[in-house]
Amino acid sequence: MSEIHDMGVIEIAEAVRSGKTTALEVLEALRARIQGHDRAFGAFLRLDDEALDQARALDAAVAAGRDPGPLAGVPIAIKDNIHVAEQLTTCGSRILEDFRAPFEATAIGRLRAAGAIFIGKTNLDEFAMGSSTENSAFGPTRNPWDDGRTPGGSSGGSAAAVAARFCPAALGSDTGGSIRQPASFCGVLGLKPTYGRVSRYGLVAFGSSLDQIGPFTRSAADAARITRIMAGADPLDSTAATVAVPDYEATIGEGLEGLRLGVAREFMDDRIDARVRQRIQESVDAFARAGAEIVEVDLPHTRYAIPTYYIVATSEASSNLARYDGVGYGHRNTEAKDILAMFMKSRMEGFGDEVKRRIILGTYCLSAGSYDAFYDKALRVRSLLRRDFEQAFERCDLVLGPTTPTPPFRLGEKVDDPIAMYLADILTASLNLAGLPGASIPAGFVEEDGRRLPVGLQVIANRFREDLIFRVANAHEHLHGFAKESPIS
Amino acid sequence: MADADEIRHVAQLARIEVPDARLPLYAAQIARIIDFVAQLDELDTDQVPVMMHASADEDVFREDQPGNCLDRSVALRAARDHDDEQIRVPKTL
Repeated sequence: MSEIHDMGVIEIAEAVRSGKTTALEVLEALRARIQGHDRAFGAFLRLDDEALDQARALDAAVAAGRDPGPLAGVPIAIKDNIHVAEQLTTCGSRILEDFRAPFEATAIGRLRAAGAIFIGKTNLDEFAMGSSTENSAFGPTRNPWDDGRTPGGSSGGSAAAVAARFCPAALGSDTGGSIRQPASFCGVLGLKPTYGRVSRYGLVAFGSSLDQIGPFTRSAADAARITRIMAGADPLDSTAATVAVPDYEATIGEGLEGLRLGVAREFMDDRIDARVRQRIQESVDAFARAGAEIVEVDLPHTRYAIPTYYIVATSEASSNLARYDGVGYGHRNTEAKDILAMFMKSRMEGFGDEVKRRIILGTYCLSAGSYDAFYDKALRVRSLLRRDFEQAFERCDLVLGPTTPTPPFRLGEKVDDPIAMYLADILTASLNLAGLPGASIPAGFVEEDGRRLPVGLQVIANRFREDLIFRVANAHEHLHGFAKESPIS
Repeated sequence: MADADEIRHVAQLARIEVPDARLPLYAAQIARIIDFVAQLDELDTDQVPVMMHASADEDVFREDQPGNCLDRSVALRAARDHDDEQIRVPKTL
């Protein structure tokens, strides 16, 4: 058996199921590693002590001969905008600093039933608004490959935790790139499923027509197992699709033969760092040698994705975040003289700058006199972005490109320039607008200042074709195996 | 376009107090973002339909059958204030 912190999801589940190890032994080893190393990175906001009871109960089930499930004893870290029953859900915000979830997300409930252990909650940009995890009210997370750089965001804590081998898997949420961009920056696999593939019940809403929960792992097979368990219809989310969930693990080894892979011209132009493009080209060349057919495709409206995204996402956010008013729960200003002042002061004190900026921008885009020029316009361009992909998928099975235009950037580098920060999502946001699934998979490194910085290859599929993403990611792993490398010993 | 007075007005609509000292910064940043997103005007979209949502199906409705709901004691634990039966809130009307 390998060292516990190097073990993946399936490896741990099999070891616990067969009695080679116990859930408690795995959990204690990883908790010790987090307690020893995470002060330097800040991936976790808190560890959940109830996980110890969960692990003991699971071990008792194994001892009694009961089936402990396909994720038996697998510790999974959860982004702190997803509800685990009775645990805090802060969303990285002062406004929810002491909020304890009265119910559990559907995705969490399904993982729990499969034997997963919830080791703790991870850091994020406040309400998932950001691309660097610097917007958290509880301090930034640092990149395990270079602690002077960001892990990306908004699910930076989850990505860093999996990269640092604090846990074999974590959950994040992706509204414009918040799983794929940090996965790229941290050198792990991160999947945003098709819109509607995984129930959003219990995920704190940011942009309801864009948000999806997805996994971070160090292997395609591990992500396939977690996704299959979380996916499927849910009576508590009317946007969760009724489309059948395939057995992704059954087809993951089918290789690249017969697949047509489209390289998006607009994802490989000179706005993208030349070193990043080179790594992506190397992966594409390896796919061709392994039997895939490579074609070039166009996504002509790519440069309009970020302006469209920032109108749609902030408009939806301004509505979704109206619920944080200090009345029923969350931070309340107690000195205000009247109810309007109470709302306004509670929200001023509770939200950070980026969240306030986005709520005000979204309110502006939806206000009388601006609605047609901004919101309505963006919804029409959204159709054009979807059409780009529909036309591309007439010519190929999957679209490939980089996940991010640059390697991980430095802490503080973009924090005072919102537009520069927004452009970090230039290659990811169009998928959310179109509702498509995409993964970032580790594609090697670039050297900078004597450090190795990860590069992510984005693999984009048509709706509900996560099976093809897992197949390509699995093939890539066998060609390269980058995720086997660890940033810390 | 978005000057300080307008941002103060929109922030009021959004129920967010913006202290006077922060107003110029917010106004300048938001004005820049609005200029940036206005590049969508380059596209002629008169004949393009709006896309509100990325759902696969129409909304999926469940049967309207009674089921388990949140336990009262659990719901009250999330509240700022309660009287053991109901959530107590400040007067809002």
